[in-house]
Amino acid sequence: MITAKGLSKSFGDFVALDDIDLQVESGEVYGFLGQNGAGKSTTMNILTGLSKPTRGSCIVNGFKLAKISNPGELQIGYLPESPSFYPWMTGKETLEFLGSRWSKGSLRKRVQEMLGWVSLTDSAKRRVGGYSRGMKQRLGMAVALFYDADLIFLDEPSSALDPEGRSDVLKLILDLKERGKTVFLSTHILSDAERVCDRVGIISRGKMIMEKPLATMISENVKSLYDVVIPGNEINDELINKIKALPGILNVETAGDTISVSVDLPEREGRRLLKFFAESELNVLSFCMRRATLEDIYLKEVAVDGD
Amino acid sequence: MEIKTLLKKELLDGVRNYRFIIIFAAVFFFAILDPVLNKLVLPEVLRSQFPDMPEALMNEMLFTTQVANIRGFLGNVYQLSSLIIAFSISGIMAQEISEKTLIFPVCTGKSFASIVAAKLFVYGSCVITATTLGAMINYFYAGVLFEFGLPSAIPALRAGLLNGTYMIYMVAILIFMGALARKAIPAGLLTLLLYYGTRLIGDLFNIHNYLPSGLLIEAELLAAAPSLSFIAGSLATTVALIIILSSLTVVRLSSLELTRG
Repeated sequence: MITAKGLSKSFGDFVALDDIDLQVESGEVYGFLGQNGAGKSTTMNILTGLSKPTRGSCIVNGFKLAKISNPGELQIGYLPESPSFYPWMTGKETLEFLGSRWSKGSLRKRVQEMLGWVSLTDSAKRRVGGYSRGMKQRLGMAVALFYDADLIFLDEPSSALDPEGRSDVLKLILDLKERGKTVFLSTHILSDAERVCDRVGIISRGKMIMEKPLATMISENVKSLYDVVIPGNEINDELINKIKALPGILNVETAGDTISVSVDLPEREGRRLLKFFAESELNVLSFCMRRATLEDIYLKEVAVDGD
Repeated sequence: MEIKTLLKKELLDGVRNYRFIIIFAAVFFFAILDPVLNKLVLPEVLRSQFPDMPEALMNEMLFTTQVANIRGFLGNVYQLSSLIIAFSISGIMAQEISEKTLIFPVCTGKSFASIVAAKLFVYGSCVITATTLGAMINYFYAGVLFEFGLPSAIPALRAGLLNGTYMIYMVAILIFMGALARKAIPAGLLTLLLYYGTRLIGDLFNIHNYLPSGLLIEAELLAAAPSLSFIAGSLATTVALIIILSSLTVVRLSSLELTRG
C-alpha cells in the first residue's frame, strides 16, 4: 500500500527527514511513533501528497507520488493533526461540500450516517467555528472516512478527544482493520498504538530508528525477568539466598509479596526457577515472565538514539 | 458537479462573510451619493463658505450635468470603491492558504483549476453586476436631478460593464497575489499596485488600447458610438491577462506546500 525509499526532506539547512524507508502492507495498521518534531507530520504530509520530498521515491495506493498533480488523485482518507474547516459552514454543509463526488440522494444519506457515527447529529446545523477542538477532530474523522477509502492516514486522531472519544476512535480503527482497510496512524499515545497496530515504526530526529511488526518487536525485547508472587510472610533471607545460589541467576529483588528474579537466559533459567518453586513448600500465587511494553521499547530506542 | 459545489461554497462564503454586501455598498454608495452631493450638499457648503459670492458666479461654479455626474461616479468606483473591494475580498485566496482550509477540499479531489475558476466566476460576477447596476442607478438618479443629458441609458450601461470588466481583472490579480503572498493584507496591497499601475502605465506611454485600462478610458467617454476596435483590443488583453493570471495561480498552488500555511 505504501512503499517509501530514501525519503528526505530539508527546509533550508534543517534536515527534517533523513533517508526514511517505509513499507506498509495492505490491510495493516501501521503505527508511526516519535517525539514532537521527530518528523512524523512531515512524513505524513509527503505520503498524502501535500508536500514534496527533497529526495527519495514513494508509491502510495499504487500511485507514484512524483507523478501526481493533485493529492486528490491518491484516493486516500486523511485526518490532519489540526483539521481546518471553513468556520462559517455548518458541520452538515462541510460534509456535503467535501463529499460532492456522491450523487445527491446518496450524499444526503451518507452525510447523516457519518454525522451520526461521529456523534455530531445534534450539532449538524451549528457553524463549525463554534465547535470545540474535539468536535472538529470528530468532524475531521468523518471527512477522512467519507469516501470509504482503502488507505487512511490518521495524524494524532485521538489527541483532542476525551477518554470516551479516544476509545471510540480505537474501536473504529479496529473495525477498519477488520474490513481490510490499511491505516497509517501517527500517535503519541503508545498504549493506543499497542492496542491496534500490526507494525510499528519509530522515528527520531528525522531518522527511522526501528521498524518491525509489533509482535516481533515485543518478543525481541522480552525482559529476562520473572516475577514470583508468594505470601509476604514466606519471604525471608534464607529463601532469597537459596534463589541467588541457583545457576544463571543475576539478581533477586523483593517488593511486598513479589520476588523479581533477573536471569541470564530466560528460557533455560525460567525452567530451572519454575522447578525450584514447584519443589519448594511455598504457596506460589503466580509465576510469570515480565512482558516488555511498547512504551519500554520506545523509551529505550529513543534514549539510545539520543546518546 | 465539482464546479457546482465550489460555486455554491463561494456564494455561501460571500454571503456569510458579508463580502457581497460590502462590494455592492462600496459601489452603490457613490452611485447614490454623488448626485445628492452635487445637487444638495455642495451648493449649501459653497453658500455658507462664500456668502458674498454673486449668484451668477455661484451658479456657474455649481453647474453640472448628468454626464459629468456619471463620469464622477466612474472615477470614484475606479479610485475608491476598488480600494474598499480589494481589501474586503483580499482573503479569498490568501486566507484559505494561511488558515489551511484548502487541505480538505484538495484531498477530497477538488482541483486547483476549479477552485480558482469558481472564485473568479463568483466574485467577477459580483463586481460586474455591482458596477453595472451602480452605473444605471447613477444614470437615472443624476438624470432626475440634473436632466437627462445622454441620448439613452446604453452609454451608461456600457460604462458600467467596462468598468466591471476592469474590476474582474482586479479580482484575477487578487487571487494570484493571494496565492503568491499567502497573507491577505500584502495580497491586497500588491493587487492595488498592479491595478492602479496598469492605468498609470497606459497614461505614461499612451498605450491604453493595448492594456485593460483602455476599458476605463472608453467607459469614461460615455460615447454614443463607441470605438469597437479600441474596446476589442483592450478587452482581448484583459481576457488574456485574466487567463494568464489564473493559470499562474494554479501553477503556484500546485507547487505550494498547503500544510505550511
